Amino acid sequence: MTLYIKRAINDIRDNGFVSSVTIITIALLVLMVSTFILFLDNAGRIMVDWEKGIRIMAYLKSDITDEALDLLMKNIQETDGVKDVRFVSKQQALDILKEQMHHQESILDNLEENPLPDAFEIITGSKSSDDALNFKQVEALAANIKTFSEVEQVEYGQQWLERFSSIFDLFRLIGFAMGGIFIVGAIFIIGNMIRLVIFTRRNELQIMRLVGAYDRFIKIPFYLQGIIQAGLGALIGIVILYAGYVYLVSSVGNGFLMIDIYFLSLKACVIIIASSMLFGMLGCFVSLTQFLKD
Amino acid sequence: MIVNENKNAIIRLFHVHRRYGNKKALQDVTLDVLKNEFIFISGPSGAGKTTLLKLLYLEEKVNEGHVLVDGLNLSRIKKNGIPDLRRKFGIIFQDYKLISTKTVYENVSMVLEAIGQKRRQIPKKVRSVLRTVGMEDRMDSYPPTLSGGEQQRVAFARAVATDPKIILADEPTGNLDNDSAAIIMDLLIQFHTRGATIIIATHDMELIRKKGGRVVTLRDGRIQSISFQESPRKL
Repeated sequence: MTLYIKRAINDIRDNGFVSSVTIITIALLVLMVSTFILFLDNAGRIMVDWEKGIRIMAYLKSDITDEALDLLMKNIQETDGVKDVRFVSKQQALDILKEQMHHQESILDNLEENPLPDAFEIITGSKSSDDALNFKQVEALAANIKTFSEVEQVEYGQQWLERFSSIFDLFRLIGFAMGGIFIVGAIFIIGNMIRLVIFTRRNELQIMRLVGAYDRFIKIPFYLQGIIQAGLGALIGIVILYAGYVYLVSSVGNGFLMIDIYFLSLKACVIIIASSMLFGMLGCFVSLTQFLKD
Repeated sequence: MIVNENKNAIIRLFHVHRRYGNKKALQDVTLDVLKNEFIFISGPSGAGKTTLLKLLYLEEKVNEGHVLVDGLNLSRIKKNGIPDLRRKFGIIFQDYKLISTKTVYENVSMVLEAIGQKRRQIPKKVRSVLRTVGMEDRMDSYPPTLSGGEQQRVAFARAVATDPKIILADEPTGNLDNDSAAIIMDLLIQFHTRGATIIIATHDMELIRKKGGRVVTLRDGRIQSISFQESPRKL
C-alpha cells in the first residue's frame, strides 16, 4: 500500500498544474455547495425557532358568558397542538396597545369605548415534548379553533409565515439541485483529470500491462490520486468557508440579524469531505473503466 | 481440435486466422515453436509478423483457430489471467517504448515493481541486468540523452529483467546501426544460451544470415515457407 500511496503522490506532483487546477476547482465547488448548506442549515434553525414561537390569537365574539369562556378555554387547552392558552381581556389588549404606541397613546385616551375584543393567546407546540408545529400543522390548528362558535377570528401571521415557508422550500430545492451539480461536477472533474494523467502516462501504463501488471497495480494509485485530490479540494473549500464565517462573525458580530449564525457541524464537514472523496473515486472508476476495457 | 501433441513445443498455433475488418492479417497459420528455439519470423512489411507476435501475448485475439503458450490455451484465458500469461514474455519493440521522464534505472525497476517483485530485491536485480547489457554506468541517465543502440539495450534489459521464458523481439535492430545491431543480437544469443526461447520478427535478411536458425516466412498473412538458415559459425 505504501508503494501505491507513493506512486499516487508522485503522480500528483508530476502533474502539478493539472492537479492544482483539479484541487482548486473541487475546492470552489465544495465552497459553493457548503455555503448553501450553511445558509440552509441556519435558515432551517431560524424557521424552527420561529415555528416554536408561533402564537395563534383567537379573537372572541362580544356576548360570551363567563361560563362559556371557561368552557371554551378548557376545550382549546385540550386541543392537540396547543401547548398553553392565556386569556387576554379587551382591557389588557388596550393596555398593551397603549404601551406599544408610546407617544401616540393620547389618541387611544379619547376613545369612548374599547373597540378591541377579548381574545385567547394560544401557544402552539407539542404538550409532551419540546417539538414545534410546522406551518401546515399551525394552519390546521387555527382552522380547528375557528370552528368554535364563540371565536370570531383567528390570526397567526399566516401571510409572512406562508411566504417564508415557500421561499425556504424553494431554497431547499435549489440546495438539492446544487448538490446534484456538485456530484456530477466532482465526477466529471476528477474523471477528466485522471483521463489526462492516463494520457500523459499511456506508454508507461501500456508497458506495465504488457509485462503482466495486474489491473489493481495500475488502478489503485489512480483511485488514491482521485480520493486525495477530491478530499484535499473539499478540505480547502471548507477551510475557506470557515475563514469567511469567522471574518463575518468577527467583523459584524454574531446576532447582527437578531439571530445567531452557526458554522456547519463537524459531522456535516466530514460528510462533505467524504462525499467529495467518494465522487472522486467514481470519477476515477469511469475513466479507468474506459481505459482498461480491453 | 488440437492434435499432434508436441511436448517440446512452448508455443503452438493451429489454423490461426486474424482479420481487421475485411483485411486478412493472418490466414490459416499453423506453427510450433520449440522450447529454447531461436526462430525468425520473416517477411515484408504488412505480412503479419507483428500481428502474429501480438496474438501470443493476447494484445490481439484470434478470429479462428487456437494458440497455446506453455500449455495454456489462450482462447480459454479470462481477462484476469492475462497478466500471468504476459509474465512468460519479455517484449522488445522497434521503437523501444522507454519512458522518457524516467531514468534508465527507473525504466527497468518499474516493470519489477509492476510484477510484484520484493522491493528490497529490485535494486540488485536492476543493477545486475543493466550490467549484463553494459548500461550500468548510465543508469541515472534519461532515455532521450542515449543513442538508439543504448536505448535498445535498456529496452532489452527491461524485457529480460523479469526472467521471462520467451523473448519476443519485433524488428529489434530496425532502427540501429550495424554495431548496435550486433550488440543486441549478441545479447539475444546470450539469453538463448541461458535457456530462453527467442522469437524475432524481422525483414532484415542480413540479420538472419548472420545468426542462422529456423525461418518462418510470411506473405500476405500466410506462411509462405519454413526453412533453416545455417549459422555462419557452423559453416
